Amino acid sequence: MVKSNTSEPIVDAAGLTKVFRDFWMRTKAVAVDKVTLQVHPHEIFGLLGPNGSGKSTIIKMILGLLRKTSGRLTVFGKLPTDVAVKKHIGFLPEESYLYRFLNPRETLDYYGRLFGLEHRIRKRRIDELLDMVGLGQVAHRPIGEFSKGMTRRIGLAQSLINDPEFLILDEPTSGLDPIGTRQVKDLLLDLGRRGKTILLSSHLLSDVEDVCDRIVVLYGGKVRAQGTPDELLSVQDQMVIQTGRLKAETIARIEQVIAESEQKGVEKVSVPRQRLEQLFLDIVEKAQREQVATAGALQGRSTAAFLRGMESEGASLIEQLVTEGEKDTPTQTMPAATVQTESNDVVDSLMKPDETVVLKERRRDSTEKVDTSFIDSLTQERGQTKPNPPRDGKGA
Amino acid sequence: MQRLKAIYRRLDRLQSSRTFKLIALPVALIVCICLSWYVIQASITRSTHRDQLARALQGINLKNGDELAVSLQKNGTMYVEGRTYGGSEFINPIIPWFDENGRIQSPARLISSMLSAETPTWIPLWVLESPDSARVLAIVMTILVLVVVGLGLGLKALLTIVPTALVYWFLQTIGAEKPAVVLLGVGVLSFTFIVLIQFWMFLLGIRGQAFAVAHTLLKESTRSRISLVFIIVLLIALPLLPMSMDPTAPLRHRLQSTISWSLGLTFVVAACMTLFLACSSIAFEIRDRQIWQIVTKPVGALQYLIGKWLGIALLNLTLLLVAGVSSFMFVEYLISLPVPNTAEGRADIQQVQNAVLTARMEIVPDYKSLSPEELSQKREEIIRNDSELKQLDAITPTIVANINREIIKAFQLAQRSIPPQAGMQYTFSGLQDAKRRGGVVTLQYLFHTLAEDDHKTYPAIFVINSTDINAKPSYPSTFVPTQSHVLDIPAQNIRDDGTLSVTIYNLIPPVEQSGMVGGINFDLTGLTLNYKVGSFEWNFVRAILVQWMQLCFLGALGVTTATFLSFPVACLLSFTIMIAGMLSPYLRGALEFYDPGSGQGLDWGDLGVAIPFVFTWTMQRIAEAILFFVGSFGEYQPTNSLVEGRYVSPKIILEAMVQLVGAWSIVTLGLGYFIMRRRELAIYSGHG
Repeated sequence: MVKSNTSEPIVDAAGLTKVFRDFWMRTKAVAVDKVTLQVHPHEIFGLLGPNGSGKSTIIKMILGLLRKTSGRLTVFGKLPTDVAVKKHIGFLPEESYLYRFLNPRETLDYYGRLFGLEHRIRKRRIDELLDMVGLGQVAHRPIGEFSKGMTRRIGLAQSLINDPEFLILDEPTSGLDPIGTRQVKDLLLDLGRRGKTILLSSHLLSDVEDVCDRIVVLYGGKVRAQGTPDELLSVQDQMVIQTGRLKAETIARIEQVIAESEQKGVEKVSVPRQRLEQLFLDIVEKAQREQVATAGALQGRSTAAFLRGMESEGASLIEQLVTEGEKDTPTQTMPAATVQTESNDVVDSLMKPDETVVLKERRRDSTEKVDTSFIDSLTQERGQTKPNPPRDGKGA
Repeated sequence: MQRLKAIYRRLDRLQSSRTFKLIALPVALIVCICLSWYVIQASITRSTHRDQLARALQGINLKNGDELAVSLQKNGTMYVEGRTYGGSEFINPIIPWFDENGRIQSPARLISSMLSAETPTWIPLWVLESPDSARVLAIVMTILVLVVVGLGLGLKALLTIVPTALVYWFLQTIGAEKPAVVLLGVGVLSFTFIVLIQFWMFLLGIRGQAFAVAHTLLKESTRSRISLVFIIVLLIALPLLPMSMDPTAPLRHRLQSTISWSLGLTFVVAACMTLFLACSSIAFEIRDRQIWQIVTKPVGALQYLIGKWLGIALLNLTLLLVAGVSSFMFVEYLISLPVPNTAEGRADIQQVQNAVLTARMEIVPDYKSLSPEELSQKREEIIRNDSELKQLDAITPTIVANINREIIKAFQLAQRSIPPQAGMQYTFSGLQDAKRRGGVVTLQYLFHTLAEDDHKTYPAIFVINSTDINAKPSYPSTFVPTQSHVLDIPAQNIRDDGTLSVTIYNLIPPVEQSGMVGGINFDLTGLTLNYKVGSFEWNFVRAILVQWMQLCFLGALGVTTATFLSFPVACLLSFTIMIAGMLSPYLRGALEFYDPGSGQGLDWGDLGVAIPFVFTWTMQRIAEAILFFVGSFGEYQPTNSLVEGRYVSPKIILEAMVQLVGAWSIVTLGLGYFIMRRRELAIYSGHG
């Protein structure tokens, strides 16, 4: 039985190297070159790098799809090819490689059976996952008829069917619309809150930045930088102050104060802009409130109950009570994510008091991140180049 | 429409509910048992009465004043074994019962008419005619009904069967009988196929990764074009095949064609589908990377391969069951058809009963073989007497091998040749079982003469257990060259040690008018002794089982080749092995005449000699390797055995199970497992 021990890393790679050779055993490419990294329990770990940097190769070696050329690699303290290890892993590949002839329900049922889940549990999880990824309505249509984004959602759902202890996501937001992207980020944060370990690979900087606790930057198969986002991204010699709208003379006075006391000038003053992502989400949410029909995926609902540790009968009852409560309140017409985040708080506080603290901490982080976006836009307006500060996963 | 849909959904929900099934299943079972019991009883009664009537009518003559004949003529009734048949309506029929000599014109017609009054009209005659058929049908129908109810397919069954029956009825009404039968056949077979697949999927719903893989493969097979094409072709072709037969052909030929075509076609289609599906399922999963999503789950390579294999095996079993039931029912239908009451018709029926609708053991005579000393002696004699061989400096091993082969061939041929006006004794052994069973053993012979005039008959005498032409028992007979004949010999003639000798005297004059020499000769299977050891029905089931095991091996082959080859290459390799296996009996025969020798004394400097030698040597080794690995595959010919009424023994099934499933399939899958374990399933994408 494989069980994650908080003191031991889930993935432990040392000097990991992968060399691809051709038929004549000549070196074709050194995809991974002496990489040393550790993924610890309960952290969201980001693999960042451009195309061809070795991210997917590392993931494939972790999953046993490729064999290392040299170095050491263990997953849950065992070889990656050990079948028992895979029971605790959820994997979303860079593209969703699913059977075109199966429908979403059958697909999830198949993968659930491969994990040896009981029929009753499978059925409940499938319903929750389909609801979560917004495909409950098309659960009986063959996947071959789906768009890339819809397929991606099923891919995501299948990676969660076993409620994995360790989730590996290779470019999880690829092919998803902004709503789906936001949901994935929300989901990762939810799972992180539940103490899941997540390995996230992406070349989309914002994906990694928004959710990861620790990041490795790869290039040419080698580790170029490693640390927490704060360690890697904070700009030590600058500050941003965000306020309400100020008059020109107030700004002038502030500039004067700063010049007098700090002998420094204000580099950029600007009015914050709403992000395009937020604008898009607002439009979609408005349309959904007006019940505009769509043939594709619906906006997914909150994270599946079993992923929030609520698979027991008691938990279902509580969730049912909460859901019924929601139905009675006017917030039902609010954007689903908002409404359900609130319900998450209630349920989580009922079920897992320890995690509520984590939630609140993350919430607090999010609030801080919202504030920095204003400063960011101010600094950008002044034309200064600087790394983006951390943002909230919801892009608010 | 919406209302109808809503009603359908409601009914569908109802029939899928546990409560409905708990009530409906016992009810369906009781109804099926009652109905089956009634049909089987009716069939047994009819066949008993038929046999009693047949015995009673044997040899009766109105002119001799036989009581039964007189009673039939006067009262239209017959009193046989405590029962009165017929009635006043049988007096003075349109076609008289008796011919001008006072004999019954057509006993079959008379018996059929006498029994028609007491048999239910709603049961097809072919079911009533054979209790075994009734039993098989009862079992099949009961299982089918239970599966339909158990899986909640009752509504679909009704919606399929009712429209099909309506269209069938319409086509029958307008006189389009053949299209009607074909349509009905396609409908019933398709529905049976679907029900069976649903049944397997239900069974595969149990816990276990391999079962999950098999379950998904069955879904794939019914949804992907690659297998669907084969399935549809088969489901349409099976009802069409009997329609293409000549109705005026002898019954024996029609029966043999039906069995041979339907089971042969099913095997070929299922074999092709098996290889295509097995290769495509895995090769495409690897190519399209769906395998990533599977092997990253807690599924071992062996579970994955076994799951695929199991799915294919069940699909094949379904196809064979559908085809088997279809051809079996058509065979039964053909048997129930009236046969002309002529000498040919009667002979036809007898041949059908003795040579087709039976399961008989076939024994060839004990042919002698040459001892090494005798062979050496004959060879030396040939070398001494052959002027060309005498001139050679050395007799190479190749020459020795060629001479040996010729000697053996001539020796064997001599044993199967009977000169004119001479006799040859053949001894059959191992007949203890036949003696124990009693009845008759059938000598089957197919002779050739050099004239091969199949419009002439030639005389011969068969003497049992003696070489004296005047000894008894003996059976004077005539034969037509190239045609099969049978001779029934009472089993009591078998000696206590289980042997029976038959001396065949060739009575053809030494020189015919045409000037041709009148010797008889025959092939290895041209003279056999047969005796019945089982029923056709169970032989049929056993033959299908053997076919299924052959397909199981092909499934394992396709699965394994796809683990390391792309789809087209895997198909190519699998088909090559399958064809080589199927042709192995011919290959084995051809190899007897394909011996390049050992190469000793060969002038290797002469490329004109060396290259052909190397080529033929290589070909021989390849052929031998094929025979070594898959030679036995082609030796199993259950369809041929069934067509010729030969017994497919449980021993053959056991052998097939051990060899094809237990050894070959497991070894092949083991190889696939080894490859899968070693193989990197992801490749260099160039994107890191």
